[in-house]
Amino acid sequence: MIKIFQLSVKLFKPGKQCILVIPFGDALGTRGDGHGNSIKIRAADALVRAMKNLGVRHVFGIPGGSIMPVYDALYDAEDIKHYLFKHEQGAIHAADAYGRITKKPGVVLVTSGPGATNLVTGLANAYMDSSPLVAISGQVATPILGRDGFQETDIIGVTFPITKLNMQVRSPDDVVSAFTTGYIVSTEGRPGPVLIDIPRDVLLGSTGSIEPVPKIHPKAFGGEPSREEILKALRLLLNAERPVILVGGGVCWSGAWDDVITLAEILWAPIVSTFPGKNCVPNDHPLYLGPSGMHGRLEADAALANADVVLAVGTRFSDRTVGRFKEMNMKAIIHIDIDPSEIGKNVRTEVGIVSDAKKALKAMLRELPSAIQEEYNRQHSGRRSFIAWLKEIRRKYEEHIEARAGDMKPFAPWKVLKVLRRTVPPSTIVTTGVGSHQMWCELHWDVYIPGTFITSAGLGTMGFGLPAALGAKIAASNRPVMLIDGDGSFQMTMNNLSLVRDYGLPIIAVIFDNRALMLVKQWQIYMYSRRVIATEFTKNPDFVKIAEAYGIEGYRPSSYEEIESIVRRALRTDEPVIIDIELDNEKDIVLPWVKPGEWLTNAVPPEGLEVDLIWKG
Amino acid sequence: MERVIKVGACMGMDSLARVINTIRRGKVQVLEISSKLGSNGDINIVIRVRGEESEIEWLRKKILVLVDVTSVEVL
Ligand SMILES: Cc1ncc(C[n+]2csc(CCOP(=O)(O)OP(=O)(O)O)c2C)c(N)n1
Ligand SMILES: [Mg+2]
Repeated sequence: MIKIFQLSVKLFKPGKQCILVIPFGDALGTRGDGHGNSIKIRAADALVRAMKNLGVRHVFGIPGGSIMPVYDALYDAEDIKHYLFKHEQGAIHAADAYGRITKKPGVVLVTSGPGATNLVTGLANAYMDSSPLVAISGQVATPILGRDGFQETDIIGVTFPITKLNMQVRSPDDVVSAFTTGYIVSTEGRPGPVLIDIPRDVLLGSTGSIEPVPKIHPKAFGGEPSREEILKALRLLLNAERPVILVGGGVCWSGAWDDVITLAEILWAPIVSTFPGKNCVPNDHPLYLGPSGMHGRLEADAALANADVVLAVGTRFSDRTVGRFKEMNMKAIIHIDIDPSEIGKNVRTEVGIVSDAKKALKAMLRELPSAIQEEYNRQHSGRRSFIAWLKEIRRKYEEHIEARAGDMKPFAPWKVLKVLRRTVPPSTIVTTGVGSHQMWCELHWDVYIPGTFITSAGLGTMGFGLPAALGAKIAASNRPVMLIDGDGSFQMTMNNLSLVRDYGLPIIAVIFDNRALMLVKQWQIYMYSRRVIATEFTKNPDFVKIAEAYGIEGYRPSSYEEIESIVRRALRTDEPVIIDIELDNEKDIVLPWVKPGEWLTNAVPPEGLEVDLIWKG
Repeated sequence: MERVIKVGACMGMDSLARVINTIRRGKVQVLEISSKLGSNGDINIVIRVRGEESEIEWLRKKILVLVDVTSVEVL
C-alpha cells in the first residue's frame, strides 16, 4: 500500500507562520517490523529513498571512495538516472542549468577531496546566479576527519561563502533530514546552492530516522507587500515623466513576466533588463528595449539613463547593468526584491519592497484604478515621444550594423545569431559560454519565451555553456537545446561532449571560433593601448575532428545559408551537431560598450555611428 | 559610529563561520567578537563594529538572510 505523507515546514515570519506542504508519494516514516520494533536501514539507502520521494529523477556526478555507499544505493534505484560526467565541474554546471529549467534543485554527487574541490566554481556560479542545486560530497570516515587523511578536504570550510547553506552530517540519523533541509532551502525564497558533506562511515551506518524532517526551517521573507508601499510606488510611477522598468533575473524565478508587461503597457513605460533579466521577458515585445549596461543596447542605456523613476524588479543592481551608481542615485528608485539584503545595497531607494516579484506586481495592478489610468494616459503623451526617441536609436543602430555586416568576413557574429534565431523554434533553450560571443547574444539573441536563455551572468564562468546545455537537454528532452560558445570557453569543458552519445543528448553546439580570448583582447585594445598579450591562440584544435572523435557530425560552414541548412537538418533528424563558425579576431569587437566605471550615456557606439543618448525632450 | 550586532543562530560553529565570512566582506572595523554556544547548536554571537550607518545596515541585512540565523539586533 502506498501511503501519502506530507511534510509541513514552518516558515519563520514575524507575527505570521506559513506552511509549506511537500507531498510524498511513498511511505517514509520509520518502518516497523510488525512487532513494534523499528527496522534500521543503511543511511545511504535512506538517502536515495528520500531523493526518490522528493521527486529527484536525475543525478549528476562522478563516483569515488567516500561517496561509493550512495552509488551502491543507486544501484537499486530504478527511478533515478545517473549521468556520469567527465569532470565534476561539468556535473555541477549541468545541475545548475537543470535547476533553472525545472525549478527543482539539480542533484550532484561527488567524492571527497578533489571531487569536492572540483565543485567550487560551479557552486560559486550557482550562488551568483541564484540557481538551486544540492551537491552531496562524500567525506573521509569520521575517525580520520581532521587528520589529513587521503582525499580529505575541509569542503565545508572552503564553501561557506559560496553556498546558501552547507553542512557536514555526523550521524546516520541526520542524513535524510540534512538532505531534506538542503532540498527545501535551495529553492525557498531566493534560490541558491546547498552542499552536504557526508563521511563514508556515516553513509554506511544504520538508521531508523528516515522521516524527511528538515533540520532547520527556512526563513520566508517578503509576504504580501504593504498597501502603503504599493500606493507610494504607484504614485511615483504615475507622476513620472519617463518611468522605466528594469527587469532582473528574479522575475523569471517568480514567473512574473506577464505582470511586468501589463504594468508597462498601462504605464507606457519602456522595459529594460539586466543580462539575466533578458531571460525573463519576451524580447519581441514592443516595449522591451533590451539589456542595459556594459554590453547592453544603446536604446536600453538611453532609457535607463534618462529615466526619472525606475521600477526595478528582482535585480541586485549590478555595476555591470547600471554603469555608475552616482547618477543612478539621482533617480527615484522603486526596488522590489525577495532578498531584503538587496534593497539599498547598491543604490538608494525611494521605495523598497521586500516581496516576491509576482506578488508585488499583482498588488500594484490591483491598486491601479482605471480612472487613474485614463487620466494619466491623457497627461503623459510625453512618454510616447520618449519611447519613439528610444526606438529611433534602435533603428539607427540596426541600420548602421546591417550596412557594415559585409565588413566582418566571413561572418558577422550578430548576423549568425539572427540566422540561428529564425531557424530554431521559439521554445529552443540556448546556453552560452563567456566572452564576446556571449555579449553578442546579450545584444542580439531574442528570447521569445522566458526561461529559455541560460548563461553564466554573475560569475562569468568560461566553460559553463556545454555542460549547461547537457543539463538543459536532460531537463527538457523534448525541446531543442543550442549552445552558443566561444572557442576558449568550449575548450574548458569540452571533455563532457562524450555524454552526447553516452546518453543520447542531441544538442546543437555552435562555436564562435575567433582563435582568441576575444573579450579580453578587446579590453587590451581599448583599455591597454592595444598591448595584446596571452589572448590569441596560435592554433586551435580542429573542432570538426573533435566532433567526429565523439561520434558527432561536425561542420565548418562558409555561408549564412549553409549555417541555416545544417541547423535545420539537425533539428529535423534530432541529431547532435557541432558547427565551427570562423570569425576574424581583428573585427570581432562587441560594440556598443560601456567601459567599467562609466555612465550609460558614454556608451561607445560602433565605429561611424553617431547617436546622442541624452534626452532633450 | 560604534554599534553592537547581536546574532542568534542554530548551527553552532558553522553559523559562527558563516557570520564571520559575512562580516569580513563588510567595510567596517571589527572591534570585538564573542560567542556563547549551547549544546543543541544554538549560538549567540556579539560583534562590536565601527563604521558608517549604511555599512552596518548592509551587514545586518546580509547576516539576517543567512539561513541558519534566527535573529539579528543592532544596538
Ligand atoms: C574560467 C574563466 N577564466 C577566465 C575568464 C576571463 N575571460 C572572460 S572572457 C574571456 C575570453 C573568452 O574566450 P572565448 O570563450 O573564446 O570567447 P570570445 O570572447 O572569444 O568570444 C576570458 C579569458 C573567465 N571569465 N572565466
Ligand atoms: Mg574566442
